[in-house]
Amino acid sequence: MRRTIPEGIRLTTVGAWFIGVTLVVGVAAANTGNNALYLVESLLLATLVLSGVTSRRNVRGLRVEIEPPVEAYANQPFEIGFRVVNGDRLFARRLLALGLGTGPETLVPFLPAGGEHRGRLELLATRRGPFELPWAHLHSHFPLGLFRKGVRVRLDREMLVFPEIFPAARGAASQLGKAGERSSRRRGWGHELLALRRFQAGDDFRSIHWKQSARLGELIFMEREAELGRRLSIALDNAVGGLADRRQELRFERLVSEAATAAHDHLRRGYEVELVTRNGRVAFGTGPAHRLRILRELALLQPVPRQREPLVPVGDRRPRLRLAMDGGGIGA
Amino acid sequence: MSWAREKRLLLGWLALLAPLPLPFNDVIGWGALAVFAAAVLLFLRRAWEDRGPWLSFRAMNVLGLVYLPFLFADLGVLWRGRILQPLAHLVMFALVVKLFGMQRERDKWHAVFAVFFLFLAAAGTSVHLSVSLYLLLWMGLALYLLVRFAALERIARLAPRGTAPPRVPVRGFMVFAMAFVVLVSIPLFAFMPRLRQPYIAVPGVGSGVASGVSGQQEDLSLDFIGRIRGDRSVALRYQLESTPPAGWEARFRAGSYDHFEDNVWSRTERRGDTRIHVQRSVDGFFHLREGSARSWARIWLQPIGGTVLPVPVSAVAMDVPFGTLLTSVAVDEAGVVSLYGQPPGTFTYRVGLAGPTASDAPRREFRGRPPPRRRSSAGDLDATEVTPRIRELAREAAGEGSAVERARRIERHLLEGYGYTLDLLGVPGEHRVEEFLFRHRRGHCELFASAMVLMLRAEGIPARFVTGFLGAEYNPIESYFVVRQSNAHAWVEAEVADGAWEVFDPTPPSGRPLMDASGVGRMLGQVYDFLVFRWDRYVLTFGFADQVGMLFRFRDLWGALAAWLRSDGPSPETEAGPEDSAAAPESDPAPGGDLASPDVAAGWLSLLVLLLLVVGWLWWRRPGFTAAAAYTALRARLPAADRPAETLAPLDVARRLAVWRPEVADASAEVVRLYVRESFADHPLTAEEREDLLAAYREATAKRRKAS
Repeated sequence: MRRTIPEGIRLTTVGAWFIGVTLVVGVAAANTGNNALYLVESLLLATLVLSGVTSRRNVRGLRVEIEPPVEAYANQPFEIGFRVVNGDRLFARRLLALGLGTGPETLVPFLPAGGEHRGRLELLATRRGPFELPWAHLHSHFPLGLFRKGVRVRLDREMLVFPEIFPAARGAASQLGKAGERSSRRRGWGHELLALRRFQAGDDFRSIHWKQSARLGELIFMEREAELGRRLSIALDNAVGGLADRRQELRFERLVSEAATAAHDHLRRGYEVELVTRNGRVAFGTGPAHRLRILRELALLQPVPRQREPLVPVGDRRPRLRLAMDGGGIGA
Repeated sequence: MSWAREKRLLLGWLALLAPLPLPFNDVIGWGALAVFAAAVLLFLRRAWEDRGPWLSFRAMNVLGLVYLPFLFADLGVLWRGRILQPLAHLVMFALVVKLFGMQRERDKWHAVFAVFFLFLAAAGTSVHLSVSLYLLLWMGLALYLLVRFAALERIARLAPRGTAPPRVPVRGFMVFAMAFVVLVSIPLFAFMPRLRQPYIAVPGVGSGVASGVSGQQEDLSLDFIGRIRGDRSVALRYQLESTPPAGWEARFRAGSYDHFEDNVWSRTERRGDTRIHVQRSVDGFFHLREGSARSWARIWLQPIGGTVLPVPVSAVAMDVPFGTLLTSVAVDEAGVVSLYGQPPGTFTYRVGLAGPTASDAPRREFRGRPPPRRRSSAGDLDATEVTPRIRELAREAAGEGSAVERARRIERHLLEGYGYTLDLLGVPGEHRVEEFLFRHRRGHCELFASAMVLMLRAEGIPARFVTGFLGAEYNPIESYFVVRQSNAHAWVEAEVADGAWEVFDPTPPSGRPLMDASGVGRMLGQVYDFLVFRWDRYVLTFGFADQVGMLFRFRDLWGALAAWLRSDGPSPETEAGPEDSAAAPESDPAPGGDLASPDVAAGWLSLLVLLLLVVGWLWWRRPGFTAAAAYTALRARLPAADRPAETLAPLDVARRLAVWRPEVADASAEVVRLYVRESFADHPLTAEEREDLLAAYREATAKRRKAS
């Protein structure tokens, strides 16, 4: 399989002028029979050949590898690591512009023969979901800037772009802060302190309040609030049927982003978060892995046909975030 | 170095170099060049110091207006309406102004165009060999400029802001690029279509044009040839296409004179053109006189500022290469050949040489009617300056006998009784020939020849004073002969029988031009002349006929190689002798049949070079020193007892190597690690890892040897 596929040749402005001058000198040489002009003409033509051959060679024999980031969010710039390897042991490569078909290009100034270059490329995905990176595009104006020769190198990579995360103040999820922090006043294994009491046999040593114990001269145990108070259940009803127009599409995307923002924000604050959609449920959990699970689910979420029965989270968990096209909000 | 500074410096150097050949070609004066160079050097200094301010756009416009009167004066007065010189001045002025006002990106390209125009003017008007060095130097600098401009443009667009500009090494590329451009431009130059005869633009100081050449003058003083004997410039070159006839002598006739008066030789034909117009015959040749050709010589005549074509005295026919627009030549009574117009550059022609019938060379008979035999005229017996003393001396020296016997006695008398010297050049005298014969008894070739002509005429034998060239310098590099101005000579031609003219040379051998030369300096001179000849022959005067000839040579070379590959000897159709070469004069003789000929040898050499290139390429492209190869080599070093089976894991090999030779344990482990990485982790080694691999392998090998 060919690693590089030519993407054609484009004449630059300088190249057009160069060819024009070459034609003029050629006509002058033929018209006068002056061999000195023929000599200049042959040098100009040889320079054109040099430019063509070298620029062609300059973008060949290259291997490109990319390292997509673990997390990438829609409408938020992210960086992709890349590595360009010069498979040619004879000629170095110079002044390569590398792009992935979207976003700005980056310069690979010099690749020694058989050498490699590592760098990072900034990209921006405007939509959540699978983000295909089928090709790396390389082009070069080297050596003389007369031609722009380009090739594309097969990557066949795909990464998942998570939904856009809004700033906290923008979305409905921001209203969840107080609701989620309401005390449940029940003993449990949460993070908030419920009460201090004397240490009893069977208590967990890790929950001894050492400062108070030192002050009072006896072991004092910290009773923690139950975790129920720091749980968030996000119900996103994706049974919206076919999205009629662009406006509805945007609205649905906004709902998804609201859900992602809420999940992202609350997980960062230590909440247990559950995601319920028509596709299924991601059970309560915390930590980075759980966050990625929810975001991945939201990234891949697609509208499904409308259904009569309402979408309810499993169990009786509070507070809830219900998000639906026909009006969603915070559940009490 | 800032980018703007680098661009200014590059452009400045290129601008400084561009017009250098122009004064040599008389396109501009040295003064103009000096002013331009001073301005550009000033610009370079400012650019080097990277300080402004630079000229504003308004200031540039004002300067342009100020220059207008100079331009009109330049066009109308100084150069009498010739366009190139004022244009060159204008461009030089505009270039200087543009350099000082270069601020925008487009200004840079304006300056590049102006520089290119100057380069074009300089290259297009140059004819001397040294312009090739100028071309190479300028092209190298221009290529570097374009490469850097392209690099800076890319870096400015794509490199991240606020960081140091990346380094783009191009030294190796520049060497490659120059070699590539030169190599590719050679076939391009050779095969570009030639629609017109080669034209050499401007004769100038560097053009090699001689100011005066033996035989081109209407009136000839008795000192002219003696004076140009120190001139080493080339008059013509010739190459013998086959063994010359027996008795061949490199004596080229270029002029003849019959009237001698007041120490000056002149031509009576001036008063009425008696030249014969010789048309090209049906067989394609110009018949100069009766006879058949035994061999052929190819002559390349330098642009000598005249119309005379020097031809050997034994020439019977002449031919010009295919494509040369020449239908007739003029031959005067003495057999001097001339064109009807001055050839534009180096003029190439071939002459058929007659020889004694004893020669076994094939004879080329010509069809068509040759011009009538030369008969003596009244001018050949003009005894204006024959004094009684000369007549008496001639009577004494000639003795009795036939005309040829008497002429030879007179020749011998002068040869043996007089000495050669150049000391008498320019010595005034009322009758210098008489003073030479009776007072000084020494002189140079013109005095000897003049004296003999007068003595022969005193004896009633028609005679002429003939000038031309004698002898040549052999150049072994390409087996041709160089005839220089210093080979100019004068001799006598006398009609010793009815219509039979014979050459007599009364100058003593010590006074004749050298036939050959030796020495290191001369050898270097030959090399230089070879280069000049090549330049003249294959660059300046290269034309359509040469392209056709080149194709024929390729065809013949291919035929010879094909014949050799068939192992049946040279193919008959490629065998060509002098006769065939005469029949096909536009192609060089006998290139194909002989496998030892230079052409075939060149073909073999080309094939060999090609083969070496292919082998070198394959060697270069061979798989590199892989970790697998290093691992296999190390494993093979294990003693037979420890040598693992094929299925043994590589790490076991490392362990066994460490047990067998503990000193190589680390290096072996490194080799094995890289082998596993390369072969099983699907991870091609990087350049650094390859270096590590090589170092580890060498260390392991060296330590193992030491331990052994």
